[in-house]
Amino acid sequence: MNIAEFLTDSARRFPTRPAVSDLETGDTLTFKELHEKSMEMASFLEKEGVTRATRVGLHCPNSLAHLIAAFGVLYAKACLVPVADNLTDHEVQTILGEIEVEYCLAWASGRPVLENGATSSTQKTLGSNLEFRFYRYGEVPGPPGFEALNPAFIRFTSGTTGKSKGVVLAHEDTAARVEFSDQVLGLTEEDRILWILPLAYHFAVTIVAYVRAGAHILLCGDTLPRAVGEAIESHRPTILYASPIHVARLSRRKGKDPLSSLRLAVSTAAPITEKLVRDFEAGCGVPLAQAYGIIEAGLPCINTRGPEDPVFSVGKPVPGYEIALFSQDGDRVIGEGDGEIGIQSRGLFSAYYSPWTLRDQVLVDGWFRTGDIGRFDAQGALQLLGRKKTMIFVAGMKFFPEEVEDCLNSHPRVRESRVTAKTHPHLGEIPIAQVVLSLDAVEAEVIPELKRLCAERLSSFKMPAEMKVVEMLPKTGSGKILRRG
Amino acid sequence: MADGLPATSLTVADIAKSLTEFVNTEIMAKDHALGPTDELEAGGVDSMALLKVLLFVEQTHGFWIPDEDLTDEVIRTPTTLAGYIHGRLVEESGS
Repeated sequence: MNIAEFLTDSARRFPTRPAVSDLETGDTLTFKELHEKSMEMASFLEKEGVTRATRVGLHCPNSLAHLIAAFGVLYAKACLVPVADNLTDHEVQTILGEIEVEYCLAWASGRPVLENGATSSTQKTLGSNLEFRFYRYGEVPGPPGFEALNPAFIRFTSGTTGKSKGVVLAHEDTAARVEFSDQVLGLTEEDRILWILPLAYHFAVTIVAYVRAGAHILLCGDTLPRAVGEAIESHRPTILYASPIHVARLSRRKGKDPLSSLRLAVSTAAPITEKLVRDFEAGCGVPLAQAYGIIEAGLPCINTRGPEDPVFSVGKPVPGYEIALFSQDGDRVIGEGDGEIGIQSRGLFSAYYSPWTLRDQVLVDGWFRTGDIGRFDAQGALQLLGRKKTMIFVAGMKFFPEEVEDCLNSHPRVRESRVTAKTHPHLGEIPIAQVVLSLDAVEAEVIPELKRLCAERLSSFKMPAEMKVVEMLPKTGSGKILRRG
Repeated sequence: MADGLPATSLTVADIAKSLTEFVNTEIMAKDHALGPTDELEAGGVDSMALLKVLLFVEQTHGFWIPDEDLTDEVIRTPTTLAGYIHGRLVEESGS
């Protein structure tokens, strides 16, 4: 199967209905137009040699062009590798290398870092505002068994449970996720979704689900709450999909009418607090759904805030997902009690790309262990209590502290470093760093060098807000850097 | 307070300079530096990077700029943002 067929189907059922609008430019594509332009992109790619399971990067901001290129890649049976446009050159280069990207489509005139390692590139235009740069890096066969998985996407991210990079989603995995979550969200062609998150991180399931339902996606370029509020008032969306920081900022909007057109606001991407749920629902008059999103599994739990759903919980398991809790010894926790969340589903990922690891090698007795700790309430709704592994959440973006530590440690005068999260009232958390310098280091020289190094290599949200030189780092008994407390 | 100076002795140009330096060293990669009157958004400061700028303002000047004050005019360039910050500092010093 190919999930692009969802678009073919919607183009047949709703040819003249709007599929996606860019609120900034005022441009709209109907389902028929989105389908035709995507097919045009696919035939260009096929002529270029793109074929089944070819890894094609997509470096494109939120725009109509993004959807056309993404569906074009899928229609060409290739595997889409989103390369978010807010990444640094160093991060872009890492993705292209680790995922062995063979071709890349970029917005408009492209970006210099994409030239590195390219054998050639050309311009491709599908219309006004639909200009692309196409880069060729050379064909690489990919790991054994990759093509047989029928891969649709590779999301480059640290795996939830370890050092693995690049989560491979097959067409079948994605279709299952879309089907499952739709049973709870109940999307229809009457829905209009106000979209403010980066498409590069959410295309795989969420956008595909909207297209399948025939819903209208409204891309809101400006994510400041004033603009989002105005967009809601003038475009009357039925669904808002946002991260907790957007939710928090919207709930602080003063003297505005409730966002009455919304039937649902969904908060995802980062943990939320009970207070924020209450503030938002009281201030905006709209139920705030909370979803448990995990790249390896999709959306295994959604709390749509129905009459029986608790205020603060990610809700009951979505049909299609089995969830169980496991003790530290690996035994199943039955009844009340905390444990590590394990998931079984057809919607699970298929493999990690680097190093190449098939899903079945990752599962423990058939369960995907998430590293998250949870508890079920008496009604069977899941509450998230924390993580086994330390992850830092800055304004809805998440990353592991090790990535920032690796960057700091690459400086010759840094002996070791520790990056931790500090809570911040407006951003959720901010990363702060402690560094131990070598004896010959001059602090006044090294700190500015470290800031520059981080700015070059890391996306801005990962950059430590404070850097402190310390004599030594707190360690555990076994000599590992202490992550908590 | 930056450089330990009383708030109102900072000029708009001083504040714009420190904002520009912050953006250039901690947000932008080295090869495309911004000037104090360049547009932040056109220079690549996205909404996520803008939050880092707000964090810097909080750390340097002691207040968080509320969302309702983040109009397009205020956040257009380092200098327009500096104008807003200067206004707040004058207000807070009570003069």
